[in-house]
Order: sequence, then structure tokens, then C-alpha cells
Amino acid sequence: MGDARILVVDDDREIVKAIDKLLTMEGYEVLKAYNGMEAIDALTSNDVQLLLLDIMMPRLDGLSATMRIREKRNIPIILLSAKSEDSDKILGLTMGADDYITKPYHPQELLARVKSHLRRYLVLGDAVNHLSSTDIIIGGLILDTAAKQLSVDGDPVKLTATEYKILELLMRHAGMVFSAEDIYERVWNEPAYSIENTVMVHIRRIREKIEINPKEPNYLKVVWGIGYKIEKL
Amino acid sequence: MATKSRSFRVHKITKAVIFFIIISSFVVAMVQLQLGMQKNINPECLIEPEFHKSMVFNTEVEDAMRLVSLIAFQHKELENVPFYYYFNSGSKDYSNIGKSDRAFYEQYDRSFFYMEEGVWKDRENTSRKTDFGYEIFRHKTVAYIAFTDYYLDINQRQWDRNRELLLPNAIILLASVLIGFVLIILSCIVTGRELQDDKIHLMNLDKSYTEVLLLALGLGVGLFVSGISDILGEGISLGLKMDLFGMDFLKIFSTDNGSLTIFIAVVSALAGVVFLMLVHSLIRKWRVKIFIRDSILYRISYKLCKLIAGASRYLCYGDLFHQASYARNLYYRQMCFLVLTITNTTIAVYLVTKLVWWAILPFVIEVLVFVWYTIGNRHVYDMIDQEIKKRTEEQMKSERMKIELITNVSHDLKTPLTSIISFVDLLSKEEPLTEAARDYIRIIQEKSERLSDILTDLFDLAKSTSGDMALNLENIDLGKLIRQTLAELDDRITDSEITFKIKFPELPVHINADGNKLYRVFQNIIDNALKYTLGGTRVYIDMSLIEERVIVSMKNIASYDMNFTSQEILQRFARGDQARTSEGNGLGLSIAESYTKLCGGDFQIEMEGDMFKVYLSFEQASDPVVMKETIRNDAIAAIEVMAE
Repeated sequence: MGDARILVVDDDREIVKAIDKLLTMEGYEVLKAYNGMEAIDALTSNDVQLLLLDIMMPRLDGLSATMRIREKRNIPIILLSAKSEDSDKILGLTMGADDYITKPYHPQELLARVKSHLRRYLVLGDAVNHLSSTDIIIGGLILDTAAKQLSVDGDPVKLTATEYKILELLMRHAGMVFSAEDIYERVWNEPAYSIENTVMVHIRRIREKIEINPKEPNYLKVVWGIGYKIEKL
Repeated sequence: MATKSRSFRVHKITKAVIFFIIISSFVVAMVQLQLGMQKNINPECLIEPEFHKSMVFNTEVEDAMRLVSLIAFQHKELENVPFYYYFNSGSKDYSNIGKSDRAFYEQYDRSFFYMEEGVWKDRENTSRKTDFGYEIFRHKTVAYIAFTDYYLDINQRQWDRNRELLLPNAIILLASVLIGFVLIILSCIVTGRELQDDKIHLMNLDKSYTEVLLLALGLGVGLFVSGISDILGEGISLGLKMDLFGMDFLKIFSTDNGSLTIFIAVVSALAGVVFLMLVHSLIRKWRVKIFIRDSILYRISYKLCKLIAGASRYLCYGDLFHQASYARNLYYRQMCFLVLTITNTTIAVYLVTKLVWWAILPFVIEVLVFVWYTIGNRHVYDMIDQEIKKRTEEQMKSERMKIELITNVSHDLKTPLTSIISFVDLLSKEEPLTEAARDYIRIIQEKSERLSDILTDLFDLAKSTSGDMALNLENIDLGKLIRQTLAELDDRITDSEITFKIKFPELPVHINADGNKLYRVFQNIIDNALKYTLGGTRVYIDMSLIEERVIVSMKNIASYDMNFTSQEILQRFARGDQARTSEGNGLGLSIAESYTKLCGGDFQIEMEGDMFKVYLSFEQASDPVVMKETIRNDAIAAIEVMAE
């Protein structure tokens, strides 16, 4: 893993410095740039495996840079921004970014996300070749329905039978919202009666196993007042 | 004793009996009246025992005086008169007994009258007013009149017989009138009173306007009196004066007096009932002081007064426009216009009646006034238009600037904070570090994270109150959302000593709201409850439906003295406890309020002693169609079949 090269782009030199330190300590090779144009220049002359990109930058902002880079490259792009609204996140992700981290971020979370995306990019890139037809892939999640096994970013994760059933239901119908009653009736095969807590407990446990930050889940989301769903990525 | 007699008086049966007796005595009185009238006797005989002092005799006397006076013109003796007379107008003596000395006539002391200086006088020298005091009788005319004793005695006997005939009717009539009168007064005192209290109880009839009751009473009494007097008076003698409904039914009565009596009895009974009810109603209205207030006249004048007061206030209150120059401009121009037009019209009307050709002038002036009015107003409207445009633009600009400011400030605060958090994290990994240094770093980490939370909340709050927040409104099951929120916070609830008691309606309650925002609302208020509820107590979350609105209430017992008002706690940065020691930044409830309002709901906080209550209300949305659910389930089933 240590051979990965990461490009960090932010107009705030201190932040770049801090991220550089953080990633270097983890053994990554870090390239630095301070605006969008520099980032594109750095990418053309270097082999980079991951890009950490600020949005609000002079000369060329992060979103435009993402669009320009996506035309040629497939590497993971993580946007870093002080803009914390949902609309900003959605815009960033539709522009082609793989993840969106709001400032001020927790360094450990940043690190976890970087690792996750790198692993997905480097390891899964090969893994896709040996996927069977019974596998369900959503982002870094691969659910082997034949072997009843789940791997997150290539790492196998142990699930209980109930957790597996819930996850399989949600992953099979990614993007579709299931109410707690729906889930209960399908997984437990019993009529549901005030089971919100029971289902929620399992949902929370699943989240802890598959999410980097269970409080701000990327995959398993609560649709408030309606139910639960796995995001279609 | 007093209460006993009172309870007796106001008793329903007593009242009914009184009512009945009144009607009965009225009927008896009317029947007696009819029977008396039928005898065709002058009722004067009842009050005047002596004929020669009666009005009837007086009329005879006046006739005699007239006849005797007329001798002056007719110059001939009177024939077949029941009195002796002497008349001399200066030239010739006239007398039916041939006597000219006053002493002869004077011996008839009950019926002596004489003329002196053209005026008729009686024994006591009292002038008798006659309608024929001719000038020519002055000074020279002498006349005497004396009715014969025979005439007087016969009439006196008839007078006495008549009295005897009429007296029974009169006595019964008087008695029943007396009884009726006393009972009417009594019934008027007790009407509306009831056993249980001292109030006057109104009946349905009393809801009518006073004028209607009065009119009904007046009309009824008028009709009754005129009808009855027609029947009793001329009706009988002429037989068919009243041609009611084209029927000649009075003819029957003129021949059959028995049926007339029955008719009168029935009519007076009915009329009596109606009159008494109306009178009672009016008295009840008077006693509860709605006699005036419940009248049409009062209502109309009251409305009119209000209208006039309002109009005069509107017209006179110049301060109305002390800050609105355009409105003042329009107002005064309009006033000028009205005054000018009215004056002009008056002048025009005057001129049309006087000088036809000059009447053209007011019309010309009116046209000029019209032009002045229209152009003037047009100008002001334009100004108002421009002003509004300018203000709106300014407002939009300031709103945009506000949002930009929030975004920029937020960015400018977050960037250095990011550096702080990052470098503190790096610092914590530096070796070697003393114990104290580690402790300091831990504090910086905690505080910088808290700062980050506050910043996020502040930004959210500013955004939501600036009105620039995108909402994703969906049909949401509110009960489910609250349960999900509780489940999400399950860890913390289990760790606390607090129990949550939930009472929701059986069926799902749906509202239109943004699920993510609403989640923050409930997360914040439950979070608040977790932080500030007294350990070992329960938090109650109830949901109820009141008239298409969903009311969610959360009640908890505060763990501290709530020495603030509900307004204060909703002010940004206010915190439940004054000490501000524990985590949380006090923005929670403000965000909850702001987000609730964004979702179209209402947010209220009430405090009662140690009880802290949050009330949320939303408009209830119709349930999502059940069909949709079925279709979705079918779709899932189909996919599952395909997958297998």
C-alpha cells in the first residue's frame, strides 16, 4: 500500500502541509499543488493513484478541475470543502468525484477514506475480474450471495445471519426504500408490530461494519419518516 | 314562609292557573260587555242615579235650547216638545204654555234654564256652553225652558229600570276586569321566574325583535277592539257592516245572539292568549334588559353609530399617513376630488333649475377636476411603483449579501479550524510528549471539535433563517420518523436513567415535510431532553390529531431550576442551564424551531414549574395512496422472482 502516490490540492498551504504529514506518516508518497491548474499539470507529469482536491481555489476551482481530470483519468478523487450543504455534496459527486469530505474534517476519518478509496481502486480493480454472477457490488461493498459473504473495500467482514439478510435485501434493491415493517416481514418472516427499534439496532450494527463514519453513512441510509435504503452508487 | 309563597307563585302549575283565570276573566268581561251592549241601554244609568243630572238629559236640554233659540229665525211656536218654554227676542212673545213670568218656570227646579245676554244659564247661574251663541240675542232676548215633571218622572223610572237590567252585567264585568287586572300584574311579576334560581328565563318568543312584538300587540289590540266594537256597536244594529273575507257571517249573529256570544267568547279567548303572551314576552325582555338592545331600531342605530364613528375616525385621522407620503398625497387628492365634485354637482343642480345655460359651467369644471385627479394620481402611482421596485431590489440584494456573508464567514472560519484540528492531531502523534502536554492536546482537540460543531449549527441556523434553504418535501409518516430518531439515539437513551413513553395514534399520521430537517428537529429536542431531564423520570412523547393538524408534544421534568422564559430559551445561544458546562452549544432548540417552521410547522415551548413542554404542530397530509404501496410490493416480488 505504501507505494501509492497521492496528490493533495488546496490553496491553504497549512492544510496541504498537515495532510502531507498525515499521509506521509502512513507511508504514502504525497505530491502538492495549490490550485486547479497546478493539479492538472502535476497529474500529466506524474503517476498519481488518488487526488485530494479542495473546491474553492484560485485560477481553477476544484469542481472544474474534477471535470477536466475525469475526461482522461479514472483515479479516485476526494473533494475537500468548507461547503457543507447537501446540494454541494451532490454537485461534487455528479461532477465525477468519488467522495466528499467537509472541512473541518477529522484527520482519522480523512485517512480512513483515503485508505478505503485506494484499496477499492488498487485491489478491487483486479478483483472485478474474478467476480461471479451472484455477487452484488455497490461502491466498495461486494456481497457474495452464493457464499453469503461480504467484503468492504476488499476486506471480508463478518455478518450475523440477520444482518446478512437485511443487507442482501437492501443491496438487491439498491436505491429502494424499505420501511422497518417491510424489512421485518421479509427477514424475520413474521408480521411486524412496533419493531422500529429491533430493525434499527441491526441497521446500526451493519453500519458500524460497512461505514467509515457510521454517523454520516455513505451506503446504508435512513430515509426519515419512510424507511431505510442502500444508496445506489 | 317567604320562600314558600315564592315557590308557590313561580310554580308552573300556579302560573298556568293564573294564565287560565286571566283569559277566563277576559272572556267573561267581553261576553258581559256584549250581553250588556245587546240590551242597547245607555250605561250612564249605572253611574248617574238621577236622570235630570245625566248626560242624556243634558243632550235633551241642549236640543231644547237650540230649538227655542231657533224661534228667533223661524218665528213660529214649537210643537210636540216635552218642555215648557218662553221666548222673546224683543218684539213678540212665544210660549207653548202662554206664560211669560220667570217664577212659573222657576218652580220646575230640576229643569229650569234661562237665557241672559245671549247666553243660556241654569238655576245656579252657570253658563251652559252651546254652539249657537248668536250675537243677536245679546241684551234684548229673554228665554225660559222648563221640562215637565211628568217627562222627568217617566224618564227617571226608565232610567232606574235600565240600571237594574244592566247592573248584573256591569258587576260581573267590573269584577272580572278587577280580578283579571290583579292577576295580570301578578303574572307579569312572576313571568320568566323559575323555581331553581332568581334569573328571568327567556322563551323562544322573546328572541323576536321588540318592535315585532310591539307591532303584533298593537295590531292585534287594534284589530280586536275595532272588530269587536264593530260587531257590538254598529255591527249589531246594522247587521252586516263587517264584510270579513267576503262572508256575510255577521248576518247570522244579527239574528242569533247566542252564537254571537260564543263567537265573541272564542275570539276574546284567542286574542287574550295572544295578548298575554306578547305582554309577558315584552315584560321578560324588559326585565332582563334586552327590551331596547334586542330591537331593530337599536340594532340599526348601533350599526349606524359604529359606521359613522369608523368613517369619521378614518376621515379625521390624519396621522394615519404620517410615514407614507404617497398615501397622504393620494388621500388628500381624493378628498379634494370628492368635495369639488359634490360642490359642483350641487351648483349644477341649482343652475339647471335657475339658469339653464349657465349649467354647462359646472360640467366643464368637473371635466377639469377629473383630468387633474387622474393625472395627479397617475403620477403618484408611478412613484409608488418605482419605490416598490427599488425597495424589492434592495431587499433582494441585502438578502443575497447576507447569504454570501454567511457562506464566506463560514468558509473563513472553517479553513483555519481545519488547520488547527489537523495540526493538533499531528502534534498528538509527536514523541516524546509529557503527560501535561498530552492533557493539553486532548483539551485542544475537544474544544476544537466543539467549535466545529457550533460552527456547523450556526451555519445551519443562519441558512435556515435566511430562507435560502432547499427543502425536499415528502409525504412522511411522522410516528415512524420519531421512532427512527429514538432508535438512532437508542445508545444514549439506554445509557441514561430516563425512559421514553410514547403514545401515538393507531393509524400512521402523514405530513408533508423534509425528512432530514425534521430528523434534526426531533434529534435536537430529544437530545435536549436527554441532557436536561431529571434522572429516573419519564419523557412523554404524545401525538394527537386536532382538526386536520398533528400535534406532537414532548414533556419532561427538568433537572434544574428553569429560571428563564420560553422566549429566552429560543433565543440563539441560550442554554438550559446558566452554568454552560456540559457539551452542546444551546443552538439545538433554535435550530429545531427554525427547521420546524421551514417544514411549515409550528414550534412552541411551555414551562410549568419543573415541567418542560415542547409542542410541535403540522398540517396533516392525506395518506399516500395505498395503491402505490401495493405496486411497490409487487415490483419487489417481481424482481425477487427474476433474481431467483
